[in-house]
Amino acid sequence: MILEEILSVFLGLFTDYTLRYVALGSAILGITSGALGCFTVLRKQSLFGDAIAHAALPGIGFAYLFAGTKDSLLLMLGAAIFAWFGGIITLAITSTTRIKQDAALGITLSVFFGLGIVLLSYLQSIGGASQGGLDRFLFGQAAALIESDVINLGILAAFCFTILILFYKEFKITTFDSSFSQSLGFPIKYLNALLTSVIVVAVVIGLHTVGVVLMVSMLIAPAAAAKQWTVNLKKMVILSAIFGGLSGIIGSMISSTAEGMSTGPIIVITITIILGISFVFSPKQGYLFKYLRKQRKSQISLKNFKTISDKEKRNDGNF
Amino acid sequence: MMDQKPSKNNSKTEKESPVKIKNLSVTYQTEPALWNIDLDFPQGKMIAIIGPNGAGKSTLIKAVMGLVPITAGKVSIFGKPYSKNRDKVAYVPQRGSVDWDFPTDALDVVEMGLYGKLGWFRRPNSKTQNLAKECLDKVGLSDYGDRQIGQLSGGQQQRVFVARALAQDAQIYLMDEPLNGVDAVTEKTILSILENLRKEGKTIVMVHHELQTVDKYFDWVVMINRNLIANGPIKEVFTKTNLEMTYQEKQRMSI
Amino acid sequence: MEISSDLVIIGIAVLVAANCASIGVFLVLRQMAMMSDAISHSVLLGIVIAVFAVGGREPIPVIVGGVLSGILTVSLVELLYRSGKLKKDSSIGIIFPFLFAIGVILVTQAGNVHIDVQHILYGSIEFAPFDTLYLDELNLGSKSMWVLGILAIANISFICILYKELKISTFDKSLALGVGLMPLLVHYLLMIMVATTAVVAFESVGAILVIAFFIVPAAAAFLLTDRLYKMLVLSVSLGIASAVIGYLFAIFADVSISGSMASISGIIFGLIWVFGPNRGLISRWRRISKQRFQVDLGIILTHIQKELGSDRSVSTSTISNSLGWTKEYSKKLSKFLQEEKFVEKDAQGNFILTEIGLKKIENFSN
Repeated sequence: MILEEILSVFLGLFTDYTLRYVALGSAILGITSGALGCFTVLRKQSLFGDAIAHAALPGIGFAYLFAGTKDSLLLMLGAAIFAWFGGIITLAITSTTRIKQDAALGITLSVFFGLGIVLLSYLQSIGGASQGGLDRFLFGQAAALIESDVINLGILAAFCFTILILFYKEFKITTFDSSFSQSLGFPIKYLNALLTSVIVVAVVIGLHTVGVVLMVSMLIAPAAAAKQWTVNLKKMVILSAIFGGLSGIIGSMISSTAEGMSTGPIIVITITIILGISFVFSPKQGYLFKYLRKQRKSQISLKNFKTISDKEKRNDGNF
Repeated sequence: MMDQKPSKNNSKTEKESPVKIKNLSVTYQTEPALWNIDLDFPQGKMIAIIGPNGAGKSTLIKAVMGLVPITAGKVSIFGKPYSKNRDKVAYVPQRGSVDWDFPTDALDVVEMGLYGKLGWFRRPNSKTQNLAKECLDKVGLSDYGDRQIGQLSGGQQQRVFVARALAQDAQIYLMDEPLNGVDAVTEKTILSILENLRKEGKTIVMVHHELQTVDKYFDWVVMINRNLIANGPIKEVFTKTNLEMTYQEKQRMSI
Repeated sequence: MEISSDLVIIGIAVLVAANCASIGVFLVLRQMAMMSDAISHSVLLGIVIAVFAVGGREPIPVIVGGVLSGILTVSLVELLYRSGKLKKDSSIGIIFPFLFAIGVILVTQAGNVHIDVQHILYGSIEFAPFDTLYLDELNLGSKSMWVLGILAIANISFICILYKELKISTFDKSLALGVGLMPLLVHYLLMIMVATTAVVAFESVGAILVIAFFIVPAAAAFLLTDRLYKMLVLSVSLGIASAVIGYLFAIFADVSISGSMASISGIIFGLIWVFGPNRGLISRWRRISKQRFQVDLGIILTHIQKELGSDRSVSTSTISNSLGWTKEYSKKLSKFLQEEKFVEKDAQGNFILTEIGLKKIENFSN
């Protein structure tokens, strides 16, 4: 019975008009944040993504305030500008005061978000934005995606990947050894700004599908999962993108089976489960195989012990 | 790959020191890390930079490369500013500056040394890979190319860094404590490579941590304690008086 | 006796702010700000489970549920982090969205629970005065006030009793470890207080804004003082100010109360960041410029002395050439040197050091 249900949902990917776009939009998010998340995780800037995701919220509000329509592109532009701004504020706080990065992130995150909530409530009171209108960006509502949305997201994702491919070796070397890369002449400040910008774009994509609050997981979990399976950066990026995309598709499939379920939480749960599976089952680093290897090792040493003691017995006999 | 622009006074540039430092001061807020340094590194020598902790040794080579902001003074590489002659310099940073958990293997790290020469938008290819392999062979790690770098010993990691510098095919090698905490094999390998480079006329500058081996490994020494205490051939300059001056209590500077 | 509902709301807001801001001081100092982010989100799960289990929103089970999920969060993060597979901030960024997501799903899918998504994120402090506590027929006022009041007593007691231990383990971990088991205990107790405070505040201001009250006033206070007790007082004061001003603004502009309070706390932080005495951007900029000038003065004098010692002449243009400074800056410094009588110009317009100038250089090397 369950198998039939799964099958019907799976087929729905191809036949159901809405589900197709939901899944596509979610997949686009997963692939993009998976690939780019590798760099934030390796730079130990995972929670930076959390801060800029929350910072995007007032951007959406302002865009709506000034544009008056729910023009998708304009909202995304507003989100991007404020996400960027949030990133700059965070860096400014850490570099000009003795406040450490964790507190700076917390300040940016909560204050910008609070500002966003103020704007949202203001828009509600002047009667423009309906309840489900703009606060769908809190947890994401991929179910509300229409064709033009998905096309826009696709373009954004294409942009991200173009940058990633063009600057792959630059991102790689500046992440791995920043002072050495500086000595080679790579303009570190500009490259960091470029990487942040691409992540901002990923966050903007994510607003539609997982929302502001949960976006951070999509920047970390796929990358962390991929790292369990490989020690090669290129493979890690590709695998991470696959995991992200898969969780997007599976998540949207599952959320389509129940009424009014936000896609965000389901996608996040899916990718975290994938992460858990990777922790246990990955060949080189997984717990299961480590345990099996240990068992095998102790069995081998047991065998050797037996053989030695056998030999001793026989020698005894000879004397 | 590098087009040598014919310079007007070719003979003059050939007589230029590999590294010329004039009036160099590096300060952090009111703390001077380096004060008023005038220094020429001579070509084709094994040069040791020594001094107590915090004396500014690492800062000196970082300042040469512009990795730290210079408060005053100028640095030139073969007569030109560093930014114009970057490819003549190879940098071997301290081992601790890198995340060894990074998903990359030894061969990959060495290949990264060639990224500078590739320039924007060009990708590593079989040519760069072969070059990297050669350098890895030179440091005796031919079989370790596909090892994730976190799985290498400290000495092996250091040799990977040296191989990376070799790949850059530079004239000047700036190294920050490369022999610190490495095994005997690594030390021997690195020193013999450096000796070969020196014979080819390259200049080796090394921040060195161990006083006992200075006169054994090097032929030129620079003694720093925020100021330049001494600079010259080992035989002339590596004296007890100079050492005492270098390692005495750091002179407090109140500004 | 009818207390105006406005006053009750402000009272609740003040209590939330004070509770969070005081604990927040330790979070900021111990660099656990993001852990508070994590706990504030994941208490949702505990609250939801408690509500299911008990069949309604009774304060005590809710608090217990929240605290338990807070402890669960901390434990899971530590587990992940110590396994070596993930760094600490990555662990945080995976655990809390996961637990929070589960909580959201439970809330939205279980129809008979009266928690809605909005409430989760930004609370519903507007309704608090009407959620009253009845003892027999006596209206004791808002439930939230009572709970918050009790929490305040608990927090104050916690901070007072463990003040010394908190101070040591915050500022000198190595010293604290040498003194025994206390640091670990203090750490876990602190986490429990964070979880408890978060759960209680959650009901009023929602998840995200709890974080604002934990971190922002404390961070602002950190920019104003070096003493722990002063930081506590300042943090609570700034938190209360944010709450009151925020509420008044929200009523005036007809916008979200909790969002307003968070925004105001941000504005207050911003003002202190820019204008704060000593550490503010403006005074910092002034100080750094002065320091820079002093340093450059030392450099230029030392340079002049050196050049003159080698029989080379020094002028403004040679200075800017040798030291790599702009001509304008070199001129400015030279002018100052001459005005202060550290140097004089000779017949050809080159510099020579004066007695005073030489003394100044000697002062440098002491």
